[in-house]
Amino acid sequence: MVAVVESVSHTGNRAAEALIATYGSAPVLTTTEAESAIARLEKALVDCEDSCLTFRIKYRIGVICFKADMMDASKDRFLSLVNDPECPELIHICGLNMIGQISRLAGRNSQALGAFERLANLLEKRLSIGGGYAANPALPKLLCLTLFAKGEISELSRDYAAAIAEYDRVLRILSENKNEFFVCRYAPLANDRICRLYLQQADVNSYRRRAEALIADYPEYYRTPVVKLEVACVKFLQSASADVEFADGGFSAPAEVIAWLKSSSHKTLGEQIVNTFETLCRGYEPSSYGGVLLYYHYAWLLDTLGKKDRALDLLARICSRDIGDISSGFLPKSSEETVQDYAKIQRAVMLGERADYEEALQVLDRLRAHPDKSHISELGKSVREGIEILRREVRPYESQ
Amino acid sequence: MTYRLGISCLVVLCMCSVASVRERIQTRANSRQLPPIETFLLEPAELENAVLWVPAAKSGPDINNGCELRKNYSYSAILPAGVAHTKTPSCPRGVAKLLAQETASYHRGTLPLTILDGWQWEYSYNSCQFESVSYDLPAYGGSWEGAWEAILTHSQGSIDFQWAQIPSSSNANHEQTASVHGSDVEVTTFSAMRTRDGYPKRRQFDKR
Repeated sequence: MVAVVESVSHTGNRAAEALIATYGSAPVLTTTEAESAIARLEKALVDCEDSCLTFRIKYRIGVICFKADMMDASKDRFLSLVNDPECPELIHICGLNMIGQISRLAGRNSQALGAFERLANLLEKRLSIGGGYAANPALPKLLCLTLFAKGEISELSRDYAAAIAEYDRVLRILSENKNEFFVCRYAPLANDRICRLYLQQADVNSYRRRAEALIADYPEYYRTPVVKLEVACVKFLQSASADVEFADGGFSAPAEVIAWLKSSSHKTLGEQIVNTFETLCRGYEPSSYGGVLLYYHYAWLLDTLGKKDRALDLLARICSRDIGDISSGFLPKSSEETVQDYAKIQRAVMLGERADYEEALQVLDRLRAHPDKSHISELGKSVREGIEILRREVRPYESQ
Repeated sequence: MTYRLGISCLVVLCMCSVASVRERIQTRANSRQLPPIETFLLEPAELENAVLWVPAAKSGPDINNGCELRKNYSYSAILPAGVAHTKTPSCPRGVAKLLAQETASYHRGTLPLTILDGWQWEYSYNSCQFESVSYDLPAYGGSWEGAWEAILTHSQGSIDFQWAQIPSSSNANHEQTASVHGSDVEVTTFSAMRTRDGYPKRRQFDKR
């Protein structure tokens, strides 16, 4: 009997040790490394009589295949796990997640949606049982990201109603969970996406209601200034009966307003939107991603309406900011830098038009280096050349 | 008879003991501090799109002493579209490709989605061209320079992933896993080029 007990204990330990040993591996494995690790685990499985440990090892083999980019083999492993009625619940949950992720990465969207839906239902059921959220804090996040994945797949397939339903489900989960970190991270994002989807569906009233709620509930969200601007522009275009579609959402609305005013004979209508832009800009400085965009669009609007000097003032405010001070908290600085560099070139063009050549060249001196042949780099060069010639040729002629 | 009964009892006792020990070992294995279960998670893609009016091109100066409006002024410009797409070594190829697909959906009809090596969106051909477009320069006096403006669609995106650690027992301590940076993309395309209405050009002979 002692021998039997020792043997059982020994094989259990050996299997656990084999499993633990795989955790030290690199995040990406070569096929050879993966095959060798799988062989060790399969050997340990032969003697393992602990059913829970057996499932853990089988799951781990699937993970190792994934890390070695053996996606089909990985998916087969997880499929056989989740189809086993004896599979422990947590392994079942993680297995469904892996099947969903692998299917999504392979572009098999209907399979991904199926796996994610089963996973979401399982998680919702588990978390709805008393104390579920607190018992395993990793699971609410898994549920949120599963629903985001479903929403993104539906968006790409242009099933806007389904995507809205998934993001609404995220918001419901977050309101039940009340984890402040998750709420701050995901709630404004889900709301923002719902706003965009309503516009893509051409449901402007629902868009406006949802966007106004987003502005009120999440004033610190990095896109809130931009959302305010978008709402104002959509409202303006709607009231002006402009024939504009928002196929990609509201982010094109400010440029559409300016385009409409450029081509419209009703420039007097522009005064209405000028007041709105003015009010919005009073609430922000060009020291954040949203603030920079707000000031930039306002400058172009004023330029379009012939208010060139005021436009120049706003461009000067954007250009004077050190981009190091500008932080969206989410994005790399490249977006702000791109907007700021176009603001610099536009300012130089306008100063050149006003015959302030020295100042225009000083502005161009502060342009960042961009890759050769890129639009900004080529444009910066041609504007500089033109202004240098004007400074040399025109001023003596003018002063004669 | 008594002897046989004794042997049978012993065998049954032994079997029960082994079963009980096995059960205990299994419970011990279950509760043994195994590492948490790893599962792959993708954060929602961070994709920021901006549609902006930008200066597109500038020509000149073309000294025009007569200050007369010139008609049928022809100007050719190429506004180069651009894609910069990278991924970190640990990022699965499918993740980077997913980011490219999502970004491409905002540039429909402007850029082809050419995927190389299973993930990389590469674009080297200038598809967004304005060639030999004829413009009448604006009717402001002394138009010695031409400036054009266009709408820029600028997308900047990134995607992060993580191997989330899910503790197998609810009593185990849960540590939040940090996300790993996966892939970045930056795309620029242009549309709606038009002649700029600049400052009205008035010759200011008395200035300076």
